[in-house]
Amino acid sequence: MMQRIGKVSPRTRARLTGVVYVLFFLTTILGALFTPATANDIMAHQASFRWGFALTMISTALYVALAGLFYQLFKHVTRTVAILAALFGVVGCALTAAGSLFQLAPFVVLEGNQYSTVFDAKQLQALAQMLVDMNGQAGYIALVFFGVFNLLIGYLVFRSTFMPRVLGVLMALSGVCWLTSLSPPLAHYLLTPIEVIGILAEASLMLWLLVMGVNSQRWTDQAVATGSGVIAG
Amino acid sequence: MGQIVATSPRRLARLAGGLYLIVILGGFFAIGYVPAIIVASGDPAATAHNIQTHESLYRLGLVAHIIILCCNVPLAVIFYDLFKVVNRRLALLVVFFTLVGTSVEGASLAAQYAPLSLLGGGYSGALTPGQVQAMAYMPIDLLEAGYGTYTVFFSFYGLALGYLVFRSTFIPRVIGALLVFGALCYLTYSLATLLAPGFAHRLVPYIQLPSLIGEGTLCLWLLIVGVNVQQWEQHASAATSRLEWAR
Repeated sequence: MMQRIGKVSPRTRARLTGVVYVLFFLTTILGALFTPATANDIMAHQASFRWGFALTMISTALYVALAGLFYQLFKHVTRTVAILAALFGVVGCALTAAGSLFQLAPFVVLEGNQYSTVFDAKQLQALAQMLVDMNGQAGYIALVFFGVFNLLIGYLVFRSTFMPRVLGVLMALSGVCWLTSLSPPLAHYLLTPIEVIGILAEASLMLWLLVMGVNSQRWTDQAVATGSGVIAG
Repeated sequence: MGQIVATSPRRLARLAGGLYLIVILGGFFAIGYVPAIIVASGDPAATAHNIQTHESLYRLGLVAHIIILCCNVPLAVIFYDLFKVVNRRLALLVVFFTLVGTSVEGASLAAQYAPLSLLGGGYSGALTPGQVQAMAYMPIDLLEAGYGTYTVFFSFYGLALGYLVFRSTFIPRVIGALLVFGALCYLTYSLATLLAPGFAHRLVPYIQLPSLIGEGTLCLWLLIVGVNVQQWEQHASAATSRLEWAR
């Protein structure tokens, strides 16, 4: 595995990371668009609701791959920080996947006959709404881990010699923004600026990786400088 | 590779001790103190009242819980770097058990926000106060089962870590033995919670003492004494020569 990847140039590998990043970005945004915000929307938009769930799962799987690819990209900058970032990414993905259970649960409650015979319509709506709210809360918990992930990736981009520093600053800033989800009321209050910074940071990094890749020569130089290139190369 | 050797093992140990202290104190606050104030066992109405009157405390407990989970991740990486010279595979196992335990624990937290949402007042049109309180009590009632589930993973973490400490020579063996004993108590308590809750209640609080002593000692030792650098480096050079020999 190591050797096979080692033969691909750092630039090609960076572009591959960019491709996975774009796919992750698209599935996440589509998934969010399809996910109903209230229980009322669920039964009205059953199909899009199921699409939302499936897209969330796919985007989560892509994020796991992305965590591994970022590790490959930055392991020669600071190995420990690259590992730490990957692990925060993986825990964030596990939390997102586990939280998706709450995305399916309202549907189970609203659709199942066994519930509609014992609860009246209003009560079912209330139950479903509670589960929709919990799906949101689960997302906030995962975002804390993704916030730390973005902070660490920002640090790695900044310390790397093969990518522009401004991308690192933006990523770190978006990481700080995601961390506001520790206090959901604050995160909700600052929602618009947080989303703007988050999308700006991630879209810039994604497009840079996709279009420019990395400076192969400098990437190799940094690998040699840290002494890790000799072993992994 | 070069960078990790450059970071002194003593500094890593101190950092691990500091993070562990946050985890222990935060855990005491989030898992011990806050539920003790909030939960009125078997009484949904009183519990709901407590959540409403101490809403900030309840929220703070959840935030503290998320923060200690965040501390678990760097702790796992540092333990890997410290103990890979003893046994690389077991050190990796410690990381994996930490990650899975942390994920399961984090996932169980989302349900703890449900009482806040339910008691927020938006449901009074559809549900009676009694129904709202009963629903809000359900996640609270599940706290123990959640604890029992993720602690299984942390028991295996403790067994592997205890073995590594015991074999390390750079941290006193007795701490390793305490960790293993604590892990066995964790495992007993978790399985008892899931299989026979009544029996588990009778084990409290004695069953929790060995784990606290084991982890507390390790935490303070790392924070105050660190590791025996000379012994650590001997392990490290032995590990390097093993690696070269394997090539």
